[in-house]
Amino acid sequence: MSSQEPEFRSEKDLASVFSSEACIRQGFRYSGWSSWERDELEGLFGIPDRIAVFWKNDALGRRIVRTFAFEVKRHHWKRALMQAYRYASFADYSFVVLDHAYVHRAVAGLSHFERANIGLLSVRLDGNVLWHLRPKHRKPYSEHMTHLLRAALDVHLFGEDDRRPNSNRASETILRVSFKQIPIVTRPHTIAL
Amino acid sequence: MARLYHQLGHRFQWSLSSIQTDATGDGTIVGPRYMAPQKVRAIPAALRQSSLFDPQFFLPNSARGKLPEYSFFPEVLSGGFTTEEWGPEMARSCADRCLSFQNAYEFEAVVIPTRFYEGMPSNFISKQEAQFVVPFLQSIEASGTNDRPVFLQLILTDQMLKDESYRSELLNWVTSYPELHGVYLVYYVHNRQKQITDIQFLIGLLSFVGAIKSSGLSIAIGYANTESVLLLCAGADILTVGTYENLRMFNLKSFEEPDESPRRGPTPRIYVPRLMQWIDHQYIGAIGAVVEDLGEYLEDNEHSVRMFEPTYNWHFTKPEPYKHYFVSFARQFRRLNSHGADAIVDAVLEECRRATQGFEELNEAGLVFSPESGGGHLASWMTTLNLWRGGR
Repeated sequence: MSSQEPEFRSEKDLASVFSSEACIRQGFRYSGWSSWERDELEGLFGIPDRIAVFWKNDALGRRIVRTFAFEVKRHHWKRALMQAYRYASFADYSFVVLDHAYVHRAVAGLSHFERANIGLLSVRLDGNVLWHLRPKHRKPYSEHMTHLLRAALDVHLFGEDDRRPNSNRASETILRVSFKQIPIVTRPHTIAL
Repeated sequence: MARLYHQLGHRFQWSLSSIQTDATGDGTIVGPRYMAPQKVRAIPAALRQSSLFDPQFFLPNSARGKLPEYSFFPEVLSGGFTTEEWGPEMARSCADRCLSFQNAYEFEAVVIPTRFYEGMPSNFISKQEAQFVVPFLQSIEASGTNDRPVFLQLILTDQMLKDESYRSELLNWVTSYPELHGVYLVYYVHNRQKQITDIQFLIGLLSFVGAIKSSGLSIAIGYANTESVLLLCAGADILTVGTYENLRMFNLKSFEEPDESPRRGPTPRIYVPRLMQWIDHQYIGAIGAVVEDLGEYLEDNEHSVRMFEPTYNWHFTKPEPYKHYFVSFARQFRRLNSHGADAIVDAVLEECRRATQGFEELNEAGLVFSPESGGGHLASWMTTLNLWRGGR
């Protein structure tokens, strides 16, 4: 542990001060994007501690959607990296979020994050987020998982029917498990850069 | 040459069709837990004649699934099995009925069943003798069918196999019966991972199998996972493949009364022969993105082609991952099995090295596998083979 840096008492405390939406808006300079976030979305490959979705329409009116998944841990960076790599199966960007008091260990192994194209963030006790590695955009590696997530988002975020040719019962499972009776709140354009 | 059998259980039809359509097996090990007698009868006679029947007495007081349909099952026969009431008469009646069933269906050998004992009980041998071995041998003698091969089933725990003196005692006991032609071995590893990485256990297992072979007995190994390739080195005669994990990693769950807790289906995994590992299917896209020829990794066959159709719904109730495994593992097994006794250890070591190299290349390309899908077992397997060979 870094001797000077105050640390979070628990992973829960760390997760509670971490705002993925604000962090992504700042780090990716997303202005004019709507966003939504959710904790512990089940039914995918692993259960991300947080998932954030950003979207906007391009000049032709087509919707552009970007998905971000986060694994929050105080210090076990190798385990977090393994988990975050699972989320790269369905998310465009996947991150490990660590307590800043312990991030030096992960920074020493930054090449592992670079190779896996997994982002690395750390959070200070005051909620400040530090960027150590910003991943490149990459197509999620599982078509199946990507489809499940997108189908769920289409229905519950964008109000569209998922009865399309590739739809299947598994996506309905995700819908039932993770979106059941929880109001969807979108937070459009709240941060001006 | 070792033969590859299918351990039949839940979804036994997948195994039977794989044997018939894809020629992935030389026989089967039939178990009553998931197969009613009429289903056993429906197995083609020629296949039954190269199959063993495992009476599955592991928990004699728990008749789950189709077991109540078998009059010889201890719980059924005694109307509530207890050790105290299981006297010589009951044991003999059980043996007569079970033997008669095995003879009627013309299995390739008679299997003397056993029950499961945890740990390393000091009275293991005397209990096995009294409850099953002696009554069955008497029944065989009395029935005049002693021209048929007889296999003794042993279920050994990891503690038993790791303990050299316990192993010796078992060997002395088994080899003391001139009536026996072979051993049908099942091993139970406490708290096991998907792949066995306990080197001391693996060496104990190989030593035991090698010693059984040296004594002139045959050995069939049930409920085996991909560690079968190691057991080839020790000279096992019959090894097994199976659909679900409970047919490839022996445990008692499906024989115990189910608890109330909700059960989750297994994660669909695909066997990747190049990596000698069952990999969570979600990783396949990531592998495909970094290797030149995914087909070479997976040893493509018609089942894998179906799995990679865009509309394929990965689920543990779908047969393709298992049928793909049967085809790809049977090929790998036969390729390794074609090496003679002197060369097989080197061939398996080379296969493990190649798999290790495959994992290294994937890690280098940025893939991060969870331990259950990773290559952590390979170093243990290579160490096991080197130490076991050195100690022979």
